[in-house]
Amino acid sequence: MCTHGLGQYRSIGDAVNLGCLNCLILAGLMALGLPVWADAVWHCSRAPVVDVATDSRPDPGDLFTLAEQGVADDVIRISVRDLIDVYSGVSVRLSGVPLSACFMPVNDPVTGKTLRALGLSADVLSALARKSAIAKSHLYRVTDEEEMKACIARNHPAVGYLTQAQVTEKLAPCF
Amino acid sequence: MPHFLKTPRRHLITQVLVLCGAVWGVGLAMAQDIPWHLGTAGGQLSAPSAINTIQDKPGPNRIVVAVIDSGVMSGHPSLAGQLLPGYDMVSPAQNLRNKRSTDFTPDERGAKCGSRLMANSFRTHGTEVASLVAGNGVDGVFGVNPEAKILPIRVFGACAMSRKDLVDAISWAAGLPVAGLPVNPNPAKIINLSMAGGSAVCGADLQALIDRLVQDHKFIVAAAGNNFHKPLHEPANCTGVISVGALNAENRIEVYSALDPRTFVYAPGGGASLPVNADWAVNKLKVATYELDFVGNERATTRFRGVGTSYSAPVVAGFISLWLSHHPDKNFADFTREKPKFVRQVLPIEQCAECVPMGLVNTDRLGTP
Repeated sequence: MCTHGLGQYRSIGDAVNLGCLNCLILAGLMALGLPVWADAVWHCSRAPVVDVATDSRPDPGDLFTLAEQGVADDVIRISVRDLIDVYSGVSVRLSGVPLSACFMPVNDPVTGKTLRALGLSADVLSALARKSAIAKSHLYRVTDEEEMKACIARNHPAVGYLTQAQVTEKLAPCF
Repeated sequence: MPHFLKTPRRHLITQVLVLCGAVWGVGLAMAQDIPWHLGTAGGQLSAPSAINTIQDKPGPNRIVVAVIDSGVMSGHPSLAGQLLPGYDMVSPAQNLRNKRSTDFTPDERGAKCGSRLMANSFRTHGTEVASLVAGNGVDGVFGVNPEAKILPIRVFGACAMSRKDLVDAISWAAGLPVAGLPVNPNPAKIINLSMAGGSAVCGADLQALIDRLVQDHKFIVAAAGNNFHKPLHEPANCTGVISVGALNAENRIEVYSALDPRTFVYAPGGGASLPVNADWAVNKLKVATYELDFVGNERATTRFRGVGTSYSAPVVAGFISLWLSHHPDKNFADFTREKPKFVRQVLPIEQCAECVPMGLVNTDRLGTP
Protein backbone atom coordinates (compact mmCIF):
# COMPACT_ATOMS: atom_id res chain seq x y z
CA MET A 1 0.00 0.00 0.00
CA CYS A 2 1.33 3.42 -0.88
CA THR A 3 0.30 6.33 1.25
CA HIS A 4 1.70 9.82 1.09
CA GLY A 5 1.08 13.03 2.90
CA LEU A 6 -0.06 15.78 0.56
CA GLY A 7 1.88 18.59 2.17
CA GLN A 8 4.99 18.16 0.04
CA TYR A 9 3.13 18.22 -3.28
CA ARG A 10 1.73 21.15 -5.21
CA SER A 11 -1.57 19.44 -5.99
CA ILE A 12 -3.44 16.22 -5.45
CA GLY A 13 -2.66 15.32 -9.05
CA ASP A 14 1.07 15.68 -8.37
CA ALA A 15 0.70 13.58 -5.30
CA VAL A 16 -1.12 10.82 -7.16
CA ASN A 17 1.41 10.85 -9.97
CA LEU A 18 4.44 10.85 -7.69
CA GLY A 19 2.79 8.35 -5.36
CA CYS A 20 2.12 5.95 -8.22
CA LEU A 21 5.64 6.40 -9.54
CA ASN A 22 7.02 5.52 -6.12
CA CYS A 23 4.66 2.58 -5.93
CA LEU A 24 5.94 1.30 -9.25
CA ILE A 25 9.54 1.68 -8.14
CA LEU A 26 8.82 -0.12 -4.87
CA ALA A 27 6.92 -2.87 -6.66
CA GLY A 28 9.89 -3.31 -8.98
CA LEU A 29 12.31 -3.52 -6.09
CA MET A 30 10.10 -6.03 -4.34
CA ALA A 31 9.91 -8.13 -7.50
CA LEU A 32 13.69 -8.20 -7.48
CA GLY A 33 13.59 -9.49 -3.93
CA LEU A 34 15.11 -6.39 -2.42
CA PRO A 35 14.00 -5.75 1.15
CA VAL A 36 12.61 -2.27 0.68
CA TRP A 37 10.53 -2.25 3.86
CA ALA A 38 12.49 -4.81 5.83
CA ASP A 39 13.37 -4.01 9.40
CA ALA A 40 16.98 -4.70 10.14
CA VAL A 41 17.75 -7.55 12.52
CA TRP A 42 20.46 -6.73 15.02
CA HIS A 43 23.23 -9.31 15.13
CA CYS A 44 25.97 -9.73 17.68
CA SER A 45 29.15 -11.74 17.69
CA ARG A 46 29.34 -15.00 19.58
CA ALA A 47 32.05 -16.14 21.93
CA PRO A 48 34.66 -17.66 19.62
CA VAL A 49 35.61 -20.51 21.90
CA VAL A 50 33.27 -22.01 24.43
CA ASP A 51 35.33 -23.26 27.29
CA VAL A 52 34.47 -26.07 29.62
CA ALA A 53 33.29 -23.76 32.38
CA THR A 54 30.53 -22.28 30.25
CA ASP A 55 29.77 -25.15 27.92
CA SER A 56 26.64 -26.18 29.75
CA ARG A 57 24.28 -25.18 26.93
CA PRO A 58 21.00 -24.49 28.68
CA ASP A 59 17.55 -25.35 27.40
CA PRO A 60 15.81 -22.47 25.62
CA GLY A 61 13.60 -22.06 28.68
CA ASP A 62 16.70 -21.34 30.71
CA LEU A 63 17.81 -18.46 28.54
CA PHE A 64 16.58 -15.62 30.65
CA THR A 65 18.54 -12.45 30.62
CA LEU A 66 18.03 -8.87 31.61
CA ALA A 67 15.41 -7.30 29.39
CA GLU A 68 18.16 -5.00 28.27
CA GLN A 69 20.19 -7.69 26.64
CA GLY A 70 20.31 -10.36 23.97
CA VAL A 71 19.08 -13.83 24.79
CA ALA A 72 21.30 -16.39 23.09
CA ASP A 73 23.67 -17.97 25.56
CA ASP A 74 27.05 -17.42 23.92
CA VAL A 75 26.16 -14.19 22.16
CA ILE A 76 27.65 -11.06 23.65
CA ARG A 77 25.27 -9.25 25.95
CA ILE A 78 24.69 -5.61 25.26
CA SER A 79 21.86 -3.28 26.09
CA VAL A 80 19.78 -0.96 23.94
CA ARG A 81 21.69 1.82 25.64
CA ASP A 82 24.98 0.24 24.56
CA LEU A 83 23.62 0.02 21.03
CA ILE A 84 22.77 3.71 20.93
CA ASP A 85 26.08 4.62 22.57
CA VAL A 86 28.33 2.62 20.29
CA TYR A 87 26.69 3.97 17.12
CA SER A 88 27.00 7.46 18.58
CA GLY A 89 30.74 7.02 18.96
CA VAL A 90 30.67 6.50 22.72
CA SER A 91 33.05 3.84 23.96
CA VAL A 92 31.30 0.71 25.27
CA ARG A 93 33.24 -2.04 26.97
CA LEU A 94 32.38 -5.65 27.58
CA SER A 95 34.40 -7.25 30.34
CA GLY A 96 37.00 -4.61 29.60
CA VAL A 97 37.07 -5.19 25.83
CA PRO A 98 35.82 -2.40 23.53
CA LEU A 99 32.63 -3.11 21.56
CA SER A 100 32.82 -2.58 17.81
CA ALA A 101 29.94 -1.59 15.57
CA CYS A 102 29.63 -2.25 11.86
CA PHE A 103 27.47 -0.25 9.48
CA MET A 104 26.74 0.00 5.80
CA PRO A 105 26.90 3.20 3.78
CA VAL A 106 24.62 5.84 5.18
CA ASN A 107 22.70 6.12 1.93
CA ASP A 108 21.71 2.48 2.21
CA PRO A 109 17.93 2.46 2.88
CA VAL A 110 18.13 -0.19 5.58
CA THR A 111 20.89 1.70 7.35
CA GLY A 112 18.96 4.94 7.20
CA LYS A 113 15.81 3.39 8.60
CA THR A 114 17.66 1.41 11.25
CA LEU A 115 19.62 4.37 12.53
CA ARG A 116 16.62 6.68 12.48
CA ALA A 117 14.68 4.16 14.56
CA LEU A 118 17.32 4.53 17.24
CA GLY A 119 17.31 8.29 16.88
CA LEU A 120 20.74 8.31 15.31
CA SER A 121 21.81 10.50 12.46
CA ALA A 122 23.45 8.96 9.43
CA ASP A 123 25.47 12.14 8.97
CA VAL A 124 26.89 11.90 12.47
CA LEU A 125 27.76 8.26 11.91
CA SER A 126 29.44 9.15 8.69
CA ALA A 127 31.53 11.77 10.42
CA LEU A 128 32.44 9.41 13.22
CA ALA A 129 33.53 6.77 10.79
CA ARG A 130 36.10 8.98 9.12
CA LYS A 131 39.54 7.55 9.50
CA SER A 132 40.54 9.85 12.31
CA ALA A 133 37.62 8.74 14.44
CA ILE A 134 37.56 5.04 13.70
CA ALA A 135 40.24 4.12 16.18
CA LYS A 136 38.40 5.83 19.02
CA SER A 137 34.87 4.83 18.26
CA HIS A 138 35.41 1.31 16.91
CA LEU A 139 32.99 1.97 14.09
CA TYR A 140 33.59 0.05 10.88
CA ARG A 141 32.07 0.88 7.53
CA VAL A 142 31.26 -2.05 5.26
CA THR A 143 29.75 -2.16 1.81
CA ASP A 144 27.33 -5.09 1.85
CA GLU A 145 25.87 -7.83 4.00
CA GLU A 146 28.73 -10.27 3.41
CA GLU A 147 31.17 -7.68 4.65
CA MET A 148 28.83 -6.94 7.53
CA LYS A 149 28.98 -10.57 8.65
CA ALA A 150 32.73 -10.63 8.27
CA CYS A 151 33.03 -7.38 10.22
CA ILE A 152 30.97 -8.68 13.13
CA ALA A 153 32.94 -11.93 13.21
CA ARG A 154 36.34 -10.29 12.87
CA ASN A 155 35.84 -7.60 15.50
CA HIS A 156 34.39 -9.66 18.34
CA PRO A 157 32.80 -8.30 20.46
CA ALA A 158 30.83 -6.55 17.77
CA VAL A 159 27.34 -5.62 16.69
CA GLY A 160 25.78 -4.97 13.29
CA TYR A 161 22.58 -5.55 11.36
CA LEU A 162 21.31 -7.71 8.53
CA THR A 163 18.04 -7.76 6.66
CA GLN A 164 17.35 -11.39 7.61
CA ALA A 165 18.03 -13.24 10.84
CA GLN A 166 21.06 -15.50 10.45
CA VAL A 167 22.82 -17.80 12.83
CA THR A 168 26.40 -18.79 12.18
CA GLU A 169 29.28 -19.95 14.31
CA LYS A 170 30.38 -16.36 14.64
CA LEU A 171 27.17 -14.37 14.98
CA ALA A 172 23.51 -14.61 15.88
CA PRO A 173 20.55 -12.27 16.27
CA CYS A 174 20.56 -10.31 19.47
CA PHE A 175 17.67 -8.49 21.22
CA MET B 1 2.11 25.96 71.69
CA PRO B 2 4.18 25.44 68.52
CA HIS B 3 7.83 24.70 69.23
CA PHE B 4 9.20 27.80 67.44
CA LEU B 5 7.12 30.16 69.62
CA LYS B 6 8.94 28.88 72.72
CA THR B 7 12.43 29.50 71.36
CA PRO B 8 14.55 32.62 71.97
CA ARG B 9 14.28 35.33 69.31
CA ARG B 10 17.77 34.86 67.81
CA HIS B 11 17.06 31.14 67.47
CA LEU B 12 13.75 31.97 65.91
CA ILE B 13 15.42 34.17 63.30
CA THR B 14 17.91 31.42 62.59
CA GLN B 15 15.11 28.90 62.24
CA VAL B 16 13.17 31.16 59.89
CA LEU B 17 16.27 31.65 57.73
CA VAL B 18 16.93 27.92 57.70
CA LEU B 19 13.30 27.26 56.89
CA CYS B 20 13.31 29.80 54.06
CA GLY B 21 16.51 28.27 52.74
CA ALA B 22 15.02 24.82 52.95
CA VAL B 23 11.83 25.86 51.20
CA TRP B 24 13.82 27.66 48.52
CA GLY B 25 16.08 24.64 48.17
CA VAL B 26 13.18 22.26 47.87
CA GLY B 27 11.52 24.59 45.40
CA LEU B 28 14.67 24.76 43.36
CA ALA B 29 15.06 21.02 43.51
CA MET B 30 11.43 20.55 42.49
CA ALA B 31 11.90 22.91 39.58
CA GLN B 32 15.07 21.31 38.31
CA ASP B 33 15.37 17.80 39.53
CA ILE B 34 12.08 15.99 39.26
CA PRO B 35 12.54 13.32 36.63
CA TRP B 36 10.23 13.94 33.68
CA HIS B 37 8.63 10.51 33.87
CA LEU B 38 7.05 11.37 37.24
CA GLY B 39 5.33 14.52 36.01
CA THR B 40 5.76 18.06 37.30
CA ALA B 41 5.11 19.61 40.67
CA GLY B 42 4.31 23.07 39.41
CA GLY B 43 2.07 24.35 36.68
CA GLN B 44 4.33 23.24 33.86
CA LEU B 45 3.22 20.76 31.30
CA SER B 46 4.09 17.13 32.03
CA ALA B 47 5.64 14.88 29.44
CA PRO B 48 2.85 13.20 27.46
CA SER B 49 3.76 9.79 28.90
CA ALA B 50 4.55 10.93 32.46
CA ILE B 51 2.82 8.92 35.16
CA ASN B 52 2.09 12.08 37.18
CA THR B 53 2.64 10.72 40.68
CA ILE B 54 5.01 13.38 41.97
CA GLN B 55 2.31 15.16 43.94
CA ASP B 56 0.97 12.01 45.59
CA LYS B 57 2.38 11.29 49.02
CA PRO B 58 2.90 7.66 49.95
CA GLY B 59 0.35 6.18 52.36
CA PRO B 60 1.11 4.90 55.84
CA ASN B 61 1.93 1.31 54.84
CA ARG B 62 5.50 0.33 54.02
CA ILE B 63 5.58 -1.77 50.88
CA VAL B 64 8.46 -4.13 50.09
CA VAL B 65 9.44 -4.43 46.43
CA ALA B 66 11.80 -7.22 45.43
CA VAL B 67 14.24 -6.35 42.66
CA ILE B 68 15.37 -9.66 41.16
CA ASP B 69 18.19 -8.57 38.93
CA SER B 70 21.97 -8.35 38.51
CA GLY B 71 22.44 -7.23 42.11
CA VAL B 72 22.29 -3.83 43.77
CA MET B 73 25.27 -1.70 44.80
CA SER B 74 24.35 -0.83 48.33
CA GLY B 75 26.63 2.18 48.76
CA HIS B 76 24.83 4.48 46.38
CA PRO B 77 23.66 7.66 48.17
CA SER B 78 20.36 7.68 46.24
CA LEU B 79 19.53 4.30 47.75
CA ALA B 80 20.68 5.09 51.30
CA GLY B 81 18.12 3.79 53.76
CA GLN B 82 16.12 2.04 51.05
CA LEU B 83 17.61 -1.45 50.98
CA LEU B 84 16.62 -4.47 53.03
CA PRO B 85 18.90 -7.47 53.54
CA GLY B 86 18.81 -9.38 50.27
CA TYR B 87 20.36 -12.47 48.79
CA ASP B 88 22.65 -13.67 46.03
CA MET B 89 20.60 -16.48 44.49
CA VAL B 90 23.10 -17.43 41.77
CA SER B 91 23.90 -21.14 42.05
CA PRO B 92 27.48 -22.06 42.96
CA ALA B 93 28.17 -23.56 39.53
CA GLN B 94 27.46 -20.22 37.86
CA ASN B 95 28.58 -17.92 40.60
CA LEU B 96 32.06 -16.40 40.44
CA ARG B 97 31.91 -16.33 44.24
CA ASN B 98 31.23 -20.08 44.21
CA LYS B 99 28.28 -19.97 46.60
CA ARG B 100 24.96 -18.41 47.37
CA SER B 101 25.20 -15.82 50.13
CA THR B 102 23.78 -12.64 51.58
CA ASP B 103 26.09 -10.57 49.34
CA PHE B 104 23.61 -9.24 46.78
CA THR B 105 26.07 -6.90 45.06
CA PRO B 106 26.93 -7.45 41.37
CA ASP B 107 30.05 -9.12 40.06
CA GLU B 108 33.10 -6.88 39.84
CA ARG B 109 33.42 -4.42 36.97
CA GLY B 110 34.92 -6.19 33.97
CA ALA B 111 34.17 -9.64 35.42
CA LYS B 112 34.44 -12.37 32.84
CA CYS B 113 33.10 -15.91 32.88
CA GLY B 114 35.22 -18.03 30.57
CA SER B 115 34.89 -16.54 27.11
CA ARG B 116 31.54 -14.92 27.87
CA LEU B 117 31.64 -11.13 27.69
CA MET B 118 29.30 -8.83 29.53
CA ALA B 119 28.65 -5.13 29.03
CA ASN B 120 29.31 -2.80 31.93
CA SER B 121 25.66 -1.74 31.80
CA PHE B 122 24.88 -5.20 33.13
CA ARG B 123 26.72 -4.46 36.37
CA THR B 124 24.71 -1.36 37.22
CA HIS B 125 21.37 -2.65 35.92
CA GLY B 126 19.92 -3.75 39.26
CA THR B 127 21.00 -0.55 41.01
CA GLU B 128 19.38 1.57 38.31
CA VAL B 129 16.17 -0.47 38.43
CA ALA B 130 15.98 -0.21 42.23
CA SER B 131 16.42 3.55 42.09
CA LEU B 132 13.39 3.94 39.85
CA VAL B 133 11.23 2.18 42.42
CA ALA B 134 12.47 3.78 45.62
CA GLY B 135 15.23 6.31 44.98
CA ASN B 136 15.38 8.65 47.98
CA GLY B 137 15.70 11.85 45.98
CA VAL B 138 19.42 12.40 46.60
CA ASP B 139 20.87 14.07 43.53
CA GLY B 140 17.47 14.11 41.87
CA VAL B 141 16.87 10.37 41.73
CA PHE B 142 13.31 10.06 42.95
CA GLY B 143 11.72 6.66 42.96
CA VAL B 144 8.01 6.52 42.27
CA ASN B 145 7.59 5.59 45.94
CA PRO B 146 10.51 6.80 48.08
CA GLU B 147 8.85 5.18 51.10
CA ALA B 148 9.02 1.71 49.56
CA LYS B 149 11.81 -0.64 50.62
CA ILE B 150 13.87 -2.65 48.17
CA LEU B 151 14.59 -6.34 48.65
CA PRO B 152 17.61 -6.91 46.38
CA ILE B 153 18.04 -10.42 45.00
CA ARG B 154 20.75 -11.31 42.52
CA VAL B 155 20.08 -13.93 39.85
CA PHE B 156 22.35 -12.72 37.06
CA GLY B 157 26.10 -12.76 37.19
CA ALA B 158 28.80 -12.86 34.57
CA CYS B 159 27.97 -16.53 33.90
CA ALA B 160 24.75 -18.03 32.61
CA MET B 161 21.60 -17.93 34.66
CA SER B 162 19.65 -20.96 35.73
CA ARG B 163 15.87 -21.21 35.60
CA LYS B 164 15.92 -22.83 39.01
CA ASP B 165 17.67 -19.77 40.44
CA LEU B 166 14.87 -17.59 39.11
CA VAL B 167 12.18 -19.81 40.61
CA ASP B 168 14.06 -19.88 43.92
CA ALA B 169 14.51 -16.11 43.84
CA ILE B 170 10.82 -15.43 43.25
CA SER B 171 9.85 -17.92 45.95
CA TRP B 172 12.27 -16.48 48.49
CA ALA B 173 11.24 -12.93 47.67
CA ALA B 174 7.64 -13.80 48.41
CA GLY B 175 8.51 -15.41 51.75
CA LEU B 176 8.14 -19.02 50.62
CA PRO B 177 10.61 -21.58 51.95
CA VAL B 178 13.61 -22.40 49.73
CA ALA B 179 15.76 -25.41 50.55
CA GLY B 180 19.06 -24.47 52.15
CA LEU B 181 18.20 -20.80 52.63
CA PRO B 182 17.07 -18.89 55.69
CA VAL B 183 13.51 -17.63 55.58
CA ASN B 184 13.21 -14.14 54.16
CA PRO B 185 12.19 -11.92 57.10
CA ASN B 186 10.89 -9.18 54.77
CA PRO B 187 8.59 -10.81 52.22
CA ALA B 188 7.90 -8.64 49.22
CA LYS B 189 4.45 -7.56 48.18
CA ILE B 190 5.67 -6.71 44.68
CA ILE B 191 8.29 -8.60 42.68
CA ASN B 192 9.99 -6.71 39.86
CA LEU B 193 11.48 -8.78 37.05
CA SER B 194 13.36 -6.57 34.58
CA MET B 195 14.27 -9.56 32.49
CA ALA B 196 13.04 -11.44 29.46
CA GLY B 197 13.80 -14.49 27.43
CA GLY B 198 12.82 -17.93 28.58
CA SER B 199 10.11 -19.69 26.59
CA ALA B 200 7.59 -18.31 24.14
CA VAL B 201 4.96 -20.12 26.23
CA CYS B 202 4.99 -19.71 29.99
CA GLY B 203 6.37 -22.86 31.59
CA ALA B 204 4.25 -24.88 34.02
CA ASP B 205 6.78 -24.36 36.84
CA LEU B 206 6.73 -20.60 36.55
CA GLN B 207 2.98 -20.39 36.00
CA ALA B 208 2.22 -22.53 39.05
CA LEU B 209 4.43 -20.33 41.22
CA ILE B 210 2.90 -17.13 39.87
CA ASP B 211 -0.62 -18.49 40.37
CA ARG B 212 0.19 -19.20 43.98
CA LEU B 213 1.68 -15.77 44.57
CA VAL B 214 -1.22 -13.96 42.93
CA GLN B 215 -3.57 -15.91 45.21
CA ASP B 216 -1.43 -14.68 48.11
CA HIS B 217 -2.06 -11.08 47.00
CA LYS B 218 1.41 -10.58 45.56
CA PHE B 219 2.12 -8.60 42.41
CA ILE B 220 4.58 -9.74 39.76
CA VAL B 221 5.72 -7.01 37.39
CA ALA B 222 7.83 -8.00 34.38
CA ALA B 223 9.51 -6.15 31.53
CA ALA B 224 7.96 -6.93 28.16
CA GLY B 225 11.48 -7.31 26.74
CA ASN B 226 13.60 -5.39 24.26
CA ASN B 227 13.07 -7.68 21.30
CA PHE B 228 12.21 -5.00 18.74
CA HIS B 229 8.47 -5.61 18.37
CA LYS B 230 8.36 -9.36 18.76
CA PRO B 231 5.84 -11.12 21.06
CA LEU B 232 6.21 -11.54 24.79
CA HIS B 233 8.38 -14.28 26.25
CA GLU B 234 8.67 -15.47 29.83
CA PRO B 235 8.11 -14.18 32.38
CA ALA B 236 6.00 -11.40 30.83
CA ASN B 237 3.79 -13.91 28.99
CA CYS B 238 2.69 -15.73 32.15
CA THR B 239 -0.89 -15.25 33.27
CA GLY B 240 -1.17 -12.98 36.27
CA VAL B 241 2.00 -11.06 35.44
CA ILE B 242 1.80 -7.32 34.90
CA SER B 243 3.80 -7.06 31.68
CA VAL B 244 5.22 -3.63 30.90
CA GLY B 245 6.16 -2.22 27.52
CA ALA B 246 8.17 0.94 26.93
CA LEU B 247 6.99 4.37 25.83
CA ASN B 248 9.00 7.37 24.83
CA ALA B 249 8.28 10.68 26.53
CA GLU B 250 5.78 11.55 23.82
CA ASN B 251 3.51 8.57 24.51
CA ARG B 252 4.68 6.41 21.60
CA ILE B 253 5.74 2.79 21.88
CA GLU B 254 9.51 2.59 21.60
CA VAL B 255 11.04 0.80 18.63
CA TYR B 256 12.82 -1.76 20.81
CA SER B 257 9.85 -2.68 22.99
CA ALA B 258 8.15 -6.06 22.60
CA LEU B 259 4.83 -5.71 20.82
CA ASP B 260 2.03 -7.99 21.88
CA PRO B 261 -1.68 -7.43 22.53
CA ARG B 262 -1.22 -9.18 25.89
CA THR B 263 1.02 -6.40 27.22
CA PHE B 264 -0.76 -5.26 30.38
CA VAL B 265 0.43 -1.66 30.41
CA TYR B 266 3.07 0.67 29.01
CA ALA B 267 5.23 3.12 30.92
CA PRO B 268 8.10 5.48 30.17
CA GLY B 269 11.15 3.48 29.13
CA GLY B 270 13.26 6.04 27.36
CA GLY B 271 15.11 5.87 24.08
CA ALA B 272 16.70 8.17 21.58
CA SER B 273 16.60 11.90 22.33
CA LEU B 274 13.58 13.73 20.94
CA PRO B 275 13.66 16.84 18.75
CA VAL B 276 11.47 18.94 21.03
CA ASN B 277 12.12 21.96 23.18
CA ALA B 278 11.15 20.42 26.50
CA ASP B 279 12.93 18.96 29.50
CA TRP B 280 11.74 15.49 28.50
CA ALA B 281 13.59 15.70 25.17
CA VAL B 282 16.38 13.74 26.85
CA ASN B 283 13.94 10.79 26.75
CA LYS B 284 15.95 8.70 29.19
CA LEU B 285 15.09 7.82 32.75
CA LYS B 286 17.12 9.35 35.54
CA VAL B 287 18.75 6.59 37.55
CA ALA B 288 21.30 5.96 40.27
CA THR B 289 24.31 4.43 38.61
CA TYR B 290 28.09 4.19 38.66
CA GLU B 291 30.74 5.33 36.24
CA LEU B 292 34.50 5.60 36.06
CA ASP B 293 36.19 8.86 36.92
CA PHE B 294 39.13 10.21 34.94
CA VAL B 295 41.62 8.08 36.83
CA GLY B 296 39.58 4.95 36.37
CA ASN B 297 37.96 4.69 39.78
CA GLU B 298 34.31 3.74 39.94
CA ARG B 299 32.09 6.32 41.59
CA ALA B 300 28.41 6.71 42.35
CA THR B 301 26.57 9.15 40.16
CA THR B 302 23.13 9.90 38.77
CA ARG B 303 22.40 10.13 35.08
CA PHE B 304 19.61 10.23 32.54
CA ARG B 305 20.63 6.83 31.20
CA GLY B 306 17.70 4.43 31.56
CA VAL B 307 16.63 3.00 28.20
CA GLY B 308 14.61 -0.18 27.89
CA THR B 309 11.60 -2.07 29.17
CA SER B 310 13.85 -2.96 32.11
CA TYR B 311 13.25 0.61 33.21
CA SER B 312 9.53 0.73 32.42
CA ALA B 313 8.83 -2.21 34.71
CA PRO B 314 10.14 -0.60 37.94
CA VAL B 315 8.14 2.53 37.17
CA VAL B 316 5.02 0.35 37.27
CA ALA B 317 6.24 -1.59 40.32
CA GLY B 318 6.77 1.73 42.10
CA PHE B 319 3.34 2.94 41.04
CA ILE B 320 1.66 -0.17 42.44
CA SER B 321 3.64 0.19 45.66
CA LEU B 322 2.40 3.76 45.98
CA TRP B 323 -1.18 2.59 45.48
CA LEU B 324 -0.73 -0.28 47.94
CA SER B 325 0.76 2.07 50.53
CA HIS B 326 -2.78 3.45 50.79
CA HIS B 327 -4.62 0.17 50.15
CA PRO B 328 -2.44 -2.66 51.48
CA ASP B 329 -5.14 -5.31 51.17
CA LYS B 330 -5.76 -4.87 47.47
CA ASN B 331 -4.66 -7.54 45.02
CA PHE B 332 -4.02 -8.19 41.34
CA ALA B 333 -7.74 -8.62 40.62
CA ASP B 334 -8.43 -5.23 42.23
CA PHE B 335 -5.68 -3.61 40.18
CA THR B 336 -7.05 -5.16 37.00
CA ARG B 337 -10.57 -4.02 37.87
CA GLU B 338 -9.41 -0.49 38.69
CA LYS B 339 -7.03 -0.31 35.76
CA PRO B 340 -9.24 2.04 33.70
CA LYS B 341 -8.60 4.82 36.20
CA PHE B 342 -4.82 4.31 35.98
CA VAL B 343 -4.37 4.40 32.23
CA ARG B 344 -4.65 6.50 29.13
CA GLN B 345 -4.51 5.63 25.47
CA VAL B 346 -1.10 5.27 23.93
CA LEU B 347 -0.66 6.41 20.35
CA PRO B 348 -1.63 3.42 18.18
CA ILE B 349 1.04 1.50 16.33
CA GLU B 350 0.49 0.20 12.83
CA GLN B 351 2.60 -2.92 13.31
CA CYS B 352 0.02 -4.32 15.71
CA ALA B 353 -3.55 -3.65 14.60
CA GLU B 354 -5.04 -5.67 17.43
CA CYS B 355 -3.03 -3.88 20.13
CA VAL B 356 -4.87 -1.38 22.30
CA PRO B 357 -1.89 -0.03 24.20
CA MET B 358 -2.58 1.70 27.49
CA GLY B 359 -0.07 3.89 29.28
CA LEU B 360 0.14 4.16 33.04
CA VAL B 361 -0.90 7.50 34.51
CA ASN B 362 -2.24 8.76 37.77
CA THR B 363 -5.49 10.30 36.58
CA ASP B 364 -6.92 10.25 40.07
CA ARG B 365 -5.41 10.43 43.52
CA LEU B 366 -3.93 7.06 44.41
CA GLY B 367 -5.01 7.44 48.01
CA THR B 368 -8.70 7.67 47.21
CA PRO B 369 -10.82 4.54 47.79
